[in-house]
Amino acid sequence: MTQMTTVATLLASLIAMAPAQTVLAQSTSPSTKPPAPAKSSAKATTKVAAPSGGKAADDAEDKKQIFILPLEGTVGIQLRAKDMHTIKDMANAAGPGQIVIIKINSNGGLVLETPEIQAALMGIRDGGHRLVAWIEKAISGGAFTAMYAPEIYFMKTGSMGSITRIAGQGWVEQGAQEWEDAVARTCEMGGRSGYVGRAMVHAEDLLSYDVDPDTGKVTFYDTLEGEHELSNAKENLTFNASNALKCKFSSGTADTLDDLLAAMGVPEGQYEVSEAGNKVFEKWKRTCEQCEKEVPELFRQYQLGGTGTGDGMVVLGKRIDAIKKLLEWWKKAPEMLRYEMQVPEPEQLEQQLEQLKYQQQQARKQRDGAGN
Amino acid sequence: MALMRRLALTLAVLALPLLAFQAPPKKDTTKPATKPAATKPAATKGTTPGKAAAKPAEATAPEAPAGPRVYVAPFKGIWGLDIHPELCQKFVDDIKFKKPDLVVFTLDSQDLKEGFYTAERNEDGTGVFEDDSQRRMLKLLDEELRGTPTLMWVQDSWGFSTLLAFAFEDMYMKPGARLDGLGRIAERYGVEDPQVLAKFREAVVAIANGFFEVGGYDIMIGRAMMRPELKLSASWKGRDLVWSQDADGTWVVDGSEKGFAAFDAETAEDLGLADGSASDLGELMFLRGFREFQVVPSEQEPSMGAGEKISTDWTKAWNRAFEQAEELWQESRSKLQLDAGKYTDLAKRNYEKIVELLEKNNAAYTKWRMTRHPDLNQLKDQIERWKQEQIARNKAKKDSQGGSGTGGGRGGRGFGSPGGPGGG
Repeated sequence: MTQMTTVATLLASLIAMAPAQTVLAQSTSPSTKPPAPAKSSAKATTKVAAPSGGKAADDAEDKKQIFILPLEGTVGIQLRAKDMHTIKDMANAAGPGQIVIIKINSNGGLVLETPEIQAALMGIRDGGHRLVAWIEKAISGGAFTAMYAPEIYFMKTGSMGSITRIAGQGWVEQGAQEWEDAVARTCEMGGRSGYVGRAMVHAEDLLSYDVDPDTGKVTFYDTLEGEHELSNAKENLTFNASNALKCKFSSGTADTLDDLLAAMGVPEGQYEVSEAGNKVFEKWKRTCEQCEKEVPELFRQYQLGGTGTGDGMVVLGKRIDAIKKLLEWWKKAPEMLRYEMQVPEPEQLEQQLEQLKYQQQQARKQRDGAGN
Repeated sequence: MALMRRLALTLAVLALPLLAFQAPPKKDTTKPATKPAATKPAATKGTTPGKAAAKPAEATAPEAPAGPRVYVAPFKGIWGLDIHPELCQKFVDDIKFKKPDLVVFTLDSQDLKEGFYTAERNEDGTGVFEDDSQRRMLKLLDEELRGTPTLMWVQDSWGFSTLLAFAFEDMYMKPGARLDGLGRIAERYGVEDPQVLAKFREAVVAIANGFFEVGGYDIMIGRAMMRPELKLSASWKGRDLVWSQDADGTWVVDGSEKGFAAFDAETAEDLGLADGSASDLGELMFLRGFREFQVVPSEQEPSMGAGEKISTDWTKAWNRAFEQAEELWQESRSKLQLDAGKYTDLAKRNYEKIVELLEKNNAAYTKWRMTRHPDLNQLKDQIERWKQEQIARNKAKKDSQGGSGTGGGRGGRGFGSPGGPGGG
């Protein structure tokens, strides 16, 4: 029983770990891994975008590529800068002039991911590629991500905005102005008025606009003096497809890829759609789904595995096995384990593993001694 | 987890576990501004077919006496449960196979059954808003059925289901039907902090307004239906109806700062949201210009429409799964209360069946969670505990038998000894 008690205590201590401070301090690691080899991009290209006919069809090797990267889920967990870096490297390997479309469906996520997102997306632009955001749902961090694209297209159901920084259900007042300034700058990096970004951050920031009847040029105001009001002092700007289009924040509305390419004015026969982005997305999505399924099983194994045998050695073996597998998951999906699954940090698991192995060793000695 | 997320400065994951959509794309123009003029001259206001009689007579094709093949797809019941993306997928698959001339989606869903003064929540349950899955539903209707003529015929809608009605450009109402209950969206942004409130509110309203965009309706209408403080009125400018987010228009829909905008059939038709009102399918087809038509029948039950059969089967299936799970759950609880030791094995078997049922049926699991049952992981934890207890009992039994009967075994080696696993 003593051993069982010990194991229970260890379990309790293990579960009690997961200090948020540590999580924060180490949170940037996921985005630092090297991107996939650029070589793979050519192989992944299998689908021709549109029937081109004639000479262009024969010149497949000369065609530029259209990389479509779906970005879904929580920013910094399922939606990762790492995947953007991967596509950036693939596009760079194909030479300047590729098209990269980031298809966003996200409610937001971790601010921590934003520097790497900026590095990846601005890297795509600096590589001489055309960066386009295609909005299914871009709320908060999802909107922030889209801002880097000089061209934004909405699906009819699309929504974009609400970038107020929060923690839980509370507003983060500390650094609020700096955050608003950062969003405004990002908006400007995409070639848009910073006022738009500010109105997405804080309710008191106003936004209206005028359209020049002759030139069609849109002028935004951080007041309500414009003819068209977008956000008053009690609102947080979140666009829909129609009002984003009217003020030219959006370049167009498209629900399907064909519609999007047409709206973008992509000339037929000169580009082909690469499947690489989708493969990158699907691979990570599968990993996340597998993680959500297996990690609770491993916790269950750690907590209960072998306890019915009454054999402490079996229990220790099960727990050692569970921790080893959790450590493998840490290598595969650190974002998921850190933020989504509440798994203790790998260093803590390693310590725990050493303790369990020591106990196992002692138990073996004791058993062998008793056996002799 | 909440703590971790709180400490990790979140950019702002919206706590919108249940929200979002996308729907069938139609015209790009905003509906109210253009549609009424085009389809509903003042003379056609009202609900009687006689007012539209000229159109059917003109449109009836004598060379096609049997009329068009009409596929009726009923969305009936609780939003998110009976009205579910999986049902939508079944409809779409069947429609693509049967290739009807026209698809009539019907909508009959109420979270609130009666009028204002006798309002009662639907005892069968209330709708669930899951934006991503419901947006997938709209994508299905849009992208998969592109090229197939579709329309929405609202029987009655109070709750999140009203969003679906507005995702259709061609909408008809049943006399007395409501387009109401979008105030439930406010449940998704009820926080105190004014900054966070504005963030959540505008996000969730914009996400929900995606349905209005798909149908081509002005998003001001959606806002007024989802935000109590916003007013709504409309004015005619020539033949166009122009909406405004105030009470200054000639037709005030919602002049209150405390209530949600809503429409009855007559108002919806008068303001050009609905193309007309029809009491039954014959009248609806008459309004569409067809004196004759055929409802595409079910192959299994020719007396039923194909869509009706699919809808009925779907609702029965998920309810059956839920009810089976509930019965197993109740049996486990009552038996365990009676004699936990005696009925552990039965409870374990029941829990295993519950997990199997719920993992296969998303709608049943959604209702399971709504009705305050343990989630799948908690059930699996308990199953594992019982499994280990069972192993322990078996081992103890075996040990006991071995000790008294044969004197064999290995002297209790390996369990129960205080010093560790070595034991003996």
